[in-house]
Amino acid sequence: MKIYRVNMSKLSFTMEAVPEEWRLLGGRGLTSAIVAKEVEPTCNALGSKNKLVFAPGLFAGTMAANSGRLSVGAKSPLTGGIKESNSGGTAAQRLAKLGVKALIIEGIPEGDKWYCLHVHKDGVEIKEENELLGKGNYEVIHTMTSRYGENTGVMTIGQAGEHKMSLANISVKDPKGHIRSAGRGGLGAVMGSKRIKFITLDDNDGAGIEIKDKEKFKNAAQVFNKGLLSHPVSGQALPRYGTDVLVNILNEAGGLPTKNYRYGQFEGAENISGETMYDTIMSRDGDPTHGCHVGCVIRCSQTYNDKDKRYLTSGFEYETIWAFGAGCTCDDLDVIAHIDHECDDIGIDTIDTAGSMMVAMEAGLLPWGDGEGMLRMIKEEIKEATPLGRILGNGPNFTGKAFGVTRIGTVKGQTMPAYEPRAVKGIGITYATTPMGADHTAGYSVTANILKVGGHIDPLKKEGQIELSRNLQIATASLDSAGLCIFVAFAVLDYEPVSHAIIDMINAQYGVNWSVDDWFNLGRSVLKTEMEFNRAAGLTEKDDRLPEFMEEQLPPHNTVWDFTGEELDSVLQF
Amino acid sequence: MRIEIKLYGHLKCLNEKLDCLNKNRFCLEAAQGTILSEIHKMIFVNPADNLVSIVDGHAQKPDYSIEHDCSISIFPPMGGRTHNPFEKI
Repeated sequence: MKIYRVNMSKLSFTMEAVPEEWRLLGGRGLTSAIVAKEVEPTCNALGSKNKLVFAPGLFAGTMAANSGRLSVGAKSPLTGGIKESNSGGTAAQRLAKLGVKALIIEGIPEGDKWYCLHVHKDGVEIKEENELLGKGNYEVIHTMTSRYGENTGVMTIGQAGEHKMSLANISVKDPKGHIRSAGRGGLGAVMGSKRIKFITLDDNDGAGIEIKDKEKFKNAAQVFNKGLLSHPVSGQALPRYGTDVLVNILNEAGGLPTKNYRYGQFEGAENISGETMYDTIMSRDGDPTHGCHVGCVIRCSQTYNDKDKRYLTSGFEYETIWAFGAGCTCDDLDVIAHIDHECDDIGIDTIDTAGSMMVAMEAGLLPWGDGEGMLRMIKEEIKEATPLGRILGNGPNFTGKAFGVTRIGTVKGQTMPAYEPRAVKGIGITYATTPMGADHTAGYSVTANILKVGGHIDPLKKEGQIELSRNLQIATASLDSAGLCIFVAFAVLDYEPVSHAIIDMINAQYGVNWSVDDWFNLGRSVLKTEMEFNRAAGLTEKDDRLPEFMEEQLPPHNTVWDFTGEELDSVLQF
Repeated sequence: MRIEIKLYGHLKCLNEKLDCLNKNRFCLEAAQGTILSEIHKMIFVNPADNLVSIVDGHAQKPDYSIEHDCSISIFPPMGGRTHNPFEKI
């Protein structure tokens, strides 16, 4: 394996050997290690000192199921701290097949020219790009696929990334030519700051993956695969209803944040539920289940068609549907699907875009529940980068300051997704303390709080939540480093042989003798690195807190957020 | 006593067995002291499955004692453990 390094200031490329300290790192573990080592924590996230790092996980390119997630890392323009955002799509597996451990992009070009990168077995070509400037992600992917063929990987930014908006994401082409996103933290703005419109990946004749003990790896991968397919969540619920299966569950549990976190239940929940989505997809000849990358056996993604049975969107996630749905009190699933399509095309994170919309509704810029109004604002303001669009496109905190709104549901500037911290208290601990800013995937306590996976801890009480979030954050940092989809966690938590299979695969692939402790030490180490970066960047304990309005009672349970600062500060002390 | 049942996911298909007018929301009569797992049996779901049952907004265990006028939302199995696929390995 090797490191590909692109310097945009010099418009140069170098190929480097992988340092020994990075050999057993991948995905988030590697992006965070590189950012922590090479990026000055106090630098401007959109300046020349920041670096953008792409890294496949430890298992990328192998037969391990669900191992094709791509990690993207940098200092975040949204949170001001370190960021790892991961995505499905074909990029991680193509990088792995090229033998690329990480692609590091540094510097900013002089002048005002834009560029694209073409990554292949011999290195990276840096080319001037004019044709696709100002275009959306769908057109970029379509054009590159036409030019280079179906088997070309594409990572691209839309108009929002070009304008360096803090909500800008990086879009990744999936096996069907649709869009997956490294959504959170504004990493599309970092790519835009380096004036790279897109990156294409050609893995032809790549060096491939080395596996030290192929037979042992194959056996472990089969156990792992069986566990994923046997679990009720990853084997049944997610493939049929997608992640949107959670709408009704969270609504019934009183944990569906509604009208900018005023209530825990939404009267229009059924209209935006996974069951409704499934029926709609089937009635319009859509596809209710497919994977976001080759080798995914959970297949929680889907193709959602419009009323005329034409493709509208895919990867239509619960958090997106919650955000523009219950969060903004819109119960029109078709309008939300249109919004999802536009967000994908413009290249903006759906959760934080909806966070800006909630603030806009608080400010009276839009009526509550106005789905068409949100769609119009995204298309006519954010996409066109009007002054209002730039305000909204820089996130909820920026929008709140512009309009004098203080009810803003963010931590470290990033919107709290889809699960009410007062009714699902474990997730509140994660939102407050993860180095990533409010991020449900960083320690998904909904497992034990609501779904009874990995035990059951009463979501409304304080007891056990800190330990739950801490353990999940450690385990997640390890999974993210392996490039595994977060949804493997259900089987890992419930079936011991599945977690052992992960260790066996590491040992077989890399010729090491890791124990379960080594696996969790990897997660601890990643978190420690990230926390140290954030402290050096100027983030303090006060940034590890939920918004003040979380002290209000939340109907229907009338619970409040009641963790002290001291308790929160203890979460990641290890 | 009277209780309300709401079925979700593929459990909605159970209503064909229940003759409840093809709705996933209906009412049942149950005796005082009935527990949650007995309700599961009444509506033809296996209480051994790790169902998610939310009673008036609170996730409850199978031995929870049902009260008059409560609303029970029942979701398909979401947790593992019960049918461990590795028991024979």
